[in-house]
Amino acid sequence: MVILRKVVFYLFTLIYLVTCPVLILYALGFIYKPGSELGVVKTGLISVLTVPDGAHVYLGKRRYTDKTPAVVRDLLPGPYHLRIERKGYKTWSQRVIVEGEKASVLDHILLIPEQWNQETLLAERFDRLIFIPDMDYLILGNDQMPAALHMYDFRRKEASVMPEGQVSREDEVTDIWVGRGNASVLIRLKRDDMKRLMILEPDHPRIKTTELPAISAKTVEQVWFPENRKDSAFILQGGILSKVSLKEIPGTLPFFDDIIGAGVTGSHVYALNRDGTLLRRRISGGSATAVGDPDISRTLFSSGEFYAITELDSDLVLFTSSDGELLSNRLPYRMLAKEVRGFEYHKQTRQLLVWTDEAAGVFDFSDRRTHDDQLFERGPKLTWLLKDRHDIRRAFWVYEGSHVLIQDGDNVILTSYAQDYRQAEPRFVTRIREDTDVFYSEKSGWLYYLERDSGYLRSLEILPKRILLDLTLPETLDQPQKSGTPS
Amino acid sequence: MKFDYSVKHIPSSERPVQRLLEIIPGATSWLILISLLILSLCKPVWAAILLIAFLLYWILRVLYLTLFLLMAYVRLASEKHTDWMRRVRQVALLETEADREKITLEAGAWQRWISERAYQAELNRFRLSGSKVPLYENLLHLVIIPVAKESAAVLEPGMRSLAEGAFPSSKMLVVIALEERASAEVKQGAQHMLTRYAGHFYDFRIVEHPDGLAGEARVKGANVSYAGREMLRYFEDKRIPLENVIVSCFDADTVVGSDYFACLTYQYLVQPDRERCSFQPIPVYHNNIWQAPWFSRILEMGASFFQMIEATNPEKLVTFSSHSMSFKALAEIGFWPRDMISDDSSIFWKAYIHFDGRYRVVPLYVTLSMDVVDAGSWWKTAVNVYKQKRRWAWGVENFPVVMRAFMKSKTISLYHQWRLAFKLFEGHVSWATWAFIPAVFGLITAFSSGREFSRTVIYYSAPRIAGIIFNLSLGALIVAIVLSFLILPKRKAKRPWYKKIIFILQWLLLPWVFMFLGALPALDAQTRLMLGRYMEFWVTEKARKEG
Repeated sequence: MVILRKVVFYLFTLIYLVTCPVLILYALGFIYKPGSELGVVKTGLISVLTVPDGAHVYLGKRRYTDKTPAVVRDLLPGPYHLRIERKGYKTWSQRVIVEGEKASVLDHILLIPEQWNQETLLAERFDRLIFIPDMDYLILGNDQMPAALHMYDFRRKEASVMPEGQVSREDEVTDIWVGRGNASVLIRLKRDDMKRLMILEPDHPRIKTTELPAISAKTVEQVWFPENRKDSAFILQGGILSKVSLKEIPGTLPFFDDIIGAGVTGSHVYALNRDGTLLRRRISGGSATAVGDPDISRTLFSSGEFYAITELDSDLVLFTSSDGELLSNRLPYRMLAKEVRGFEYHKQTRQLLVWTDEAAGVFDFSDRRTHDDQLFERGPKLTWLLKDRHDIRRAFWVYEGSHVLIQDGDNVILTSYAQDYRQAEPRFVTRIREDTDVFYSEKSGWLYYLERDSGYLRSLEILPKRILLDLTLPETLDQPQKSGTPS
Repeated sequence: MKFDYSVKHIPSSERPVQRLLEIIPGATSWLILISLLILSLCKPVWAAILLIAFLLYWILRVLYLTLFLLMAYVRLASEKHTDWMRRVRQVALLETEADREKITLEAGAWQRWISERAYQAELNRFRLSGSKVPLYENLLHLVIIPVAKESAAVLEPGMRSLAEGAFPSSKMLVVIALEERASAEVKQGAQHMLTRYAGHFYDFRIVEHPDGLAGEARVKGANVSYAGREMLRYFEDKRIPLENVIVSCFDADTVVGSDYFACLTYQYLVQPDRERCSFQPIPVYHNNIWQAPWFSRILEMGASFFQMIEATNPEKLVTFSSHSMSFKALAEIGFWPRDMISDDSSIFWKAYIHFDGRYRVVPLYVTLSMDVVDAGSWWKTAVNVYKQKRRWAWGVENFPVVMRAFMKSKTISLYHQWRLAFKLFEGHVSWATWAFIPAVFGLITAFSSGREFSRTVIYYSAPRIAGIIFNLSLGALIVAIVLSFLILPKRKAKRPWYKKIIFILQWLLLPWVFMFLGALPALDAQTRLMLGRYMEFWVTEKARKEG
């Protein structure tokens, strides 16, 4: 037994000494290639993950047996023509460069169906669609009776309507203010020369309405709702920012005066004083504290315009002026000089999507690489996604920040923003009713819009349900995208 | 070599070395785990390469051990029906040429063939040594059973097994080494055993070990050493030659197989250097196997398998749990260490050092059965299992003592010193780290998702290779499952089918059980030794249920 044990021991040692380096080299991407390309060669691989999965993978003319998600291994370095095919979907193709020891990862390929899966949600004509960020409600209206708004819950697929007698055909809705993660909506109604404010809250089948007679409807310039708080709102009137109690007896409490910028988060209120001082105060009250460098603030906020302040992340605050200037507290401070129409932030990937009338691009705040030839830190650079458009009105991040859905006039288009395999051409999705908005919910994976001719509320599936199961991770849902438009 | 094998009685000049050596195993285990964690974060490619190298080593070692586990099982199965008493009697025939021809080999199936060939080889080896065969009729078995908290119900099956074995119980002297601090109930139980079984044996004694003797710690070794010394006086008084006494030190719950003492006697007779040997049976934990929680079962099965594998490597075999040896050798080395918890393994090292490396362990292919830890509820059992394994892992306390002895030794060859020291060291470090290594490496992919590493070929190939290796290890797992069934004793009452299914499924949880109730207590023990927080003996709770 002792001798046998020794023999087996040495045999196993030999197996290990021979196998181990071979296995490690294979794991690193080295293989032995017989034939004309004799010897040990370095290889790479392509990893493909598609939505939906189960698509065939082709490299050149060769079809691989594994369907997506698939890893195509042992590829010699060089360019490959990758084609993804799935019945009922448009062919996806791309030139992929394979490098030795490297993996070319294409993990966010969103296949476009031949026919989009669509659904009519409300067979009623609408001329207006407004969405509440991070909420499951859409506000719908029509020209015949502008004040007879609907609040549509797209998760439950049920609409709430204005109670009878609250509004009439003569009422005109001049403004609608909504807040992130807050179902309360403030509207300003006008009849002849009379203006009034009304709070709307969804309460199926009738919307719950509350008049705000104590507040002068004429002078309200801007309204903010604190995130996930129903009890208060903040209004801007003549340079004074006041807190309005919505639950108790409506009344106003001045918070800041003589300001040229403001913004409200779930817990704090930001204000920009005329002298350039940036202040922060708790929603619950307390004293204001100065945040930021006054010298930098004075230099940056010198345009005389009003700035909407949005806290995107714990370390990232954006300032958008009414003429479309985009500033941030991070380098390069002045992100875009003018014409910004809106932005959308993806917290998980730290990507900021911005758009003007004609173009849309991305600032990547996750990229903190310093360039050897640059002494000074420059901050993220803008990467343009789309240019030479006419009327970009709205954009949304899709599929974990890998794609962007853009509303250009009355066309909705989809383009990819995966850094390594951006598709050259954006794909047309649908055409919507003229002068209306769209809304895409990453939570549901559906696009909501008004049908071009009928004005019906319709939805269109962008992300199939299976992938949504993966997306329901807390990271994604608890860290919502943040968007904004210049004040 | 004169060496005080102790963790407390250390010359002051050697204390710094002892302390340093106490730190080394724990520090090595922590260094391995922490450096792998850091490597996974900072250099994931290197971590993945190490993972592959480790997993390949791991699977080869698993297959290697499985192969020897199978061989050990075959040997164990082949000795199952051996008539050891026939062999005991035949050994005496080796004395003369004429008698030798009377030694016959039994014919039979393959098991018998293996057994008889081994028998023949053992006899030839003994004959060539030119040693004299002592008369087995003169041999006396001293059985020492330490008792601290164990009730009569725990002792009873063991006593019965001693009395009813194939070897004449009239040649057995049973001693209950009773702690003075034991409760009245426990003392009463021991007394009950004396009353009931005294007539079966050559003699039956209860030796009460006084509490707080100078130079002792509250450990089992102190108790059994005290009993050993008492029995030394007994043998001297009765003029019984010590070389005729074989001592077996059993845990209180030990139930010996009917062949144990016959096999032990035979092996004692055929070892030319019988006074320089310990005899190690295969411990199995079958007494309450069907009542104990599954995780407790798995671990004890693992311990049995480990001991079976070790039995195939007598060159490096170390005593574990219940075992036997020459009383003369025991008395010569000064009995068990009185301040060490791991008395079962310490006694081997003590003898090995005392006899300048001329001491070895002879494997016995017979089983003796003990209790699986069962403290009533699952949680209490888990805590007890954890503490028991930590106590076993405290065997690492031998490392600094053995190393100090080796440093001083001029007679044990450097080759043997390194060989045994490395096995002792590597065994403990592997015990504390192996189960954690795949888990630590598993973090590589979690940490690296989205980082540069996720754009490398090895990011994709490492999990694939790991998957193949883990699938291969299923083969070893299947062998373990089958063997765990085969070594179970034949039951009088049939067990329900679902219990058998659970018995199989329990093995799927092996990695987690080994991690939390195997590796973690070992790491705990090494960390305590590293930090100088020394342990004292703690008696495992073992409950007996009816049925």
